[in-house]
Amino acid sequence: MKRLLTIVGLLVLLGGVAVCAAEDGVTDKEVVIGAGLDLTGAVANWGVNIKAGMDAVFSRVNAAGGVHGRKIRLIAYDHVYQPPKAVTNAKRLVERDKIFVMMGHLGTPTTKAVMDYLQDKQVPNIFPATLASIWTNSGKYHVGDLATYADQTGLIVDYLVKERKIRKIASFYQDDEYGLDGHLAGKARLKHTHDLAYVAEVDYKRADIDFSSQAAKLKESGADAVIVQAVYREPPRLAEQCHAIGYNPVFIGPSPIVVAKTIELGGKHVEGLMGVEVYPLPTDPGAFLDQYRADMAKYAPSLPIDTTNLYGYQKAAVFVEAMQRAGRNLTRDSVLKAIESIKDWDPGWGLKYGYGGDNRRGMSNAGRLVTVKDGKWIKVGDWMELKEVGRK
Amino acid sequence: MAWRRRLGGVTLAVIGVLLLLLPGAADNYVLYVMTRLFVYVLVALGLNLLTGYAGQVSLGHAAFFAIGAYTAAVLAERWHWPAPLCLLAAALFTALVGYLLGLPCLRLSGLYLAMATLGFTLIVQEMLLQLAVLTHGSEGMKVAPASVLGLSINTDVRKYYLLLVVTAAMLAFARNLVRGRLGRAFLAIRDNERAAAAMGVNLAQYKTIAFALSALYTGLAGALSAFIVGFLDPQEFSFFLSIQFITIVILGGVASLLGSVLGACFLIFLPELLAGLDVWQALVYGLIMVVTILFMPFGLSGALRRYAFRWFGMGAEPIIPRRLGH
Amino acid sequence: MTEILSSQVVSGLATGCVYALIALGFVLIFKATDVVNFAQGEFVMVSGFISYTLLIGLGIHYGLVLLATIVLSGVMGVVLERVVVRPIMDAPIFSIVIATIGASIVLRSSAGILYGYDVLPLPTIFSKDPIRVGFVQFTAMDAGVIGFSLVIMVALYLFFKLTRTGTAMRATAQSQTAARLMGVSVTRIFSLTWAISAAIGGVAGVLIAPIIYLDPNLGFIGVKAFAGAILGGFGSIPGAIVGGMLLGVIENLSGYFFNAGIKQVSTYILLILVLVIRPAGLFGAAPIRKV
Repeated sequence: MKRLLTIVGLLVLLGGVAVCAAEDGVTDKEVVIGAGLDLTGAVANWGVNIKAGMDAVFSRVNAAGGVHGRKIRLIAYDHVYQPPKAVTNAKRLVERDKIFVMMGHLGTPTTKAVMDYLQDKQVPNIFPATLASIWTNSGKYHVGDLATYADQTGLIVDYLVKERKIRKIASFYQDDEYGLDGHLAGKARLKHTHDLAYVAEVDYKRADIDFSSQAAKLKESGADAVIVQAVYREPPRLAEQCHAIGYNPVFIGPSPIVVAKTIELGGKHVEGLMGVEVYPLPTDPGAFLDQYRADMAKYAPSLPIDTTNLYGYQKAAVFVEAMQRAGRNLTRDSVLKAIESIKDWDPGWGLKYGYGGDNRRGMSNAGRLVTVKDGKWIKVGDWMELKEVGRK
Repeated sequence: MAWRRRLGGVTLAVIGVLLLLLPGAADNYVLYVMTRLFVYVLVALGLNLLTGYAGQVSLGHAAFFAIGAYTAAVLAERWHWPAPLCLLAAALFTALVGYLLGLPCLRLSGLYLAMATLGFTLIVQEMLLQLAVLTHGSEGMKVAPASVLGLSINTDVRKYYLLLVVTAAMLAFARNLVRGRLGRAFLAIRDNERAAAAMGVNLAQYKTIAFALSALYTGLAGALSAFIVGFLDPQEFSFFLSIQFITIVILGGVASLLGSVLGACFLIFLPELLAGLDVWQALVYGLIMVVTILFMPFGLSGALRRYAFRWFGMGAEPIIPRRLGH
Repeated sequence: MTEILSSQVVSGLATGCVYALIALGFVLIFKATDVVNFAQGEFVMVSGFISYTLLIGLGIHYGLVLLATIVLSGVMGVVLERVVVRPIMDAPIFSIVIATIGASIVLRSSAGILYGYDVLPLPTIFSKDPIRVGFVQFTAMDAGVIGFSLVIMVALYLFFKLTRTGTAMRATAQSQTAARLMGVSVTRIFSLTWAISAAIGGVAGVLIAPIIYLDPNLGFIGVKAFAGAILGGFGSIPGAIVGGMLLGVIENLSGYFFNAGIKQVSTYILLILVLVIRPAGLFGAAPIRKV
């Protein structure tokens, strides 16, 4: 009997070893996760904070013994927002560090550059840190994250036309892939659903510092609402310069502007600014956010509580949930299946995650409208499922 | 004396054999880094011909690089040209652009030339965005792997050998150029334009030739890079890239082919060595750069030659004029 | 139409003044030492962080902060000259330029490590509320930036014209050998030049950071200023001022009439055209070839 048990035990152990050896980055004690981020370049703020957020979750999980006995190790390299460098880093992560999955890869062009490579190597590209539409429809290995800019802009357009009865809408957008995603989606939504068109389309470059010419053009168009496809540093400056020439439209934009910094920078000029939230603010109540704040204080004390690190934090939290569900037998397939099994799951902040749906829409497609009132972001509506809006 | 002369040849042969055997010992990551190194060596050779030899400072090489990359990519995607033709066409087209840019730049020198070419970089970058019909604008452009004589260059080993062969050939070509009539004319122009003209060097002709040749190398490098990376985005070809290129040439050593190789090694390998340093990476990189130039003001090759001369009596002390391109 | 255009010109002038200040820093160093300091933009960035630290971190009065920032920036200029430039003063010019590029990387990443890469708002004494004079509309901020820049430029002019040190600096720029023979300590003048350039960069930092916010990449504004200096004629002080201002105005007008892409390249197209016609910029003397 004893011998039989020993043999069975040995076989189980061998089986376990065989399974573990089959997948890169997974051993009995450890899971290795890779990330290609911008840590010193143009969007370094996002890279540094996403990494800190992910690290905070993994540190807490590791301190509690890991997931199914495996500790999580995150290896991140700096791609400086350059596609060729992103490919170098991806090869290093996959072939030298033997990562299990790529997670939170930052930037649209950089992630596009490593997309095919990761697919060839069958390394899942989980929750890339870019809300472009492409990650929700690129097949099994690319797992999108939150509501895309395009879908968010659909919500904005519907709100302006139906609820605010505004028909003169202008677009102010960053003239790159990030800004164009929402800009074109808004254009399509206006045309197909409301039979309208932008009254003005005004672009700017990422490093621009003066928007007085854009302000003048927007004023001349007579738009009652301006959709700002921008990041948080532009709306305050644009609002200032519009107000300086006596022009006060409704400013509204997708999630990247909904951060505390917008208010810190804009002060009274951003009162009434509206935005779309795809996950709660870091200062909101909720058990999950309490834990987030505690983890950040413990594992990243030098960084303030901020939307940018919460973005990384929630990615890691969902991934840990998926690893829990995948069980002890962890493979790339099993973790992808585990992600697909997440439905109506709320980590404890009122926002539900649910993968898939009609056409692989990512983890969550919820959004809600918020506005700045008395120097604070407050919600205008409740979470709602966003409809898919294409760019064409 | 003979062994000294032979030492250089033996070193070269050993390095050549090691490079040929490398794919047997290295993983794909190392091979990919090496292919990027070869691309940068090609650019550095081209830029060194113009800046180091002919004394014309250019911050426009990111634009040449972009033109080469996009020409090859567009020809392959739209008109399904075979890869060797794409590479050739990209190199020649970039050379033509270089020649044309060289014409108005004839009257400029030093800083003014640097700034005008920097402007060229920014204008070309903007054109890549505006010509979205061909370049897909800010969406970026995918490039399918090259295929040479029916063999698809789709693995890192094949990419490595393709680049190794091209780089070695172009290095040999550059060596012949600078040792010949053209190289001597370039140096004469750099050191003293009036004296060169007095000796019968046609300034306008040689300066535009330098531009065209330099663009040819850089365009070819860009086209190869497009096939290797497989994805192009206009943001990549910013003036930072131009500054990186000129840094390679100065740090490596002006008017030295060895310098181009060493400078490219510095710029490609150092970030890889520092990759684990997180946010500290840029700081350490900058410090090493400053210290290197403080201790080797004549570049890596200048330092190497100086010590080769002092310790082994090889070659001669390098002399480089202070007012390069002035 | 005139109303909008004139507002465009005024706000363009405000940005242009900041370009002009940074361009002045480039030109002063170049005239005295033949070096193009690629860390000039980083002077602007670092001084922004200095005043942020003094103002927010230590809560010092705004006037004192301004003074302290100018002094500390000057010190930074001297340190940079001593550590990075002087040891290789005999090396090829372009080696020195690369050394300043290295220094700019060090300054930028140090700021990133110390303060993070997020943008910070720097308080200012000027309000951003609109003012109307006749049909021209602008903000107090615009007026303040323009006024302050002009004061600095006039002060600098008087310094060069009226003081002994200023005269010595002009002499050094003309001929180092002659200046040395006249008993001028050329090394001291070099240090002083770097100090003044960095201090002007400091003023530019205090003026521009509240408008475009503070972050480690703020120094890239130096590239635009460099273009302004070239447009005016590198090596010419009036050229730097006019070139910088012209650039600010052209940017705004081309942004108004075309789009952001054209706005971005318009200055460079103009620059190339000017250089083709006048190879040494608008105010620059034809380059003297030192044989």
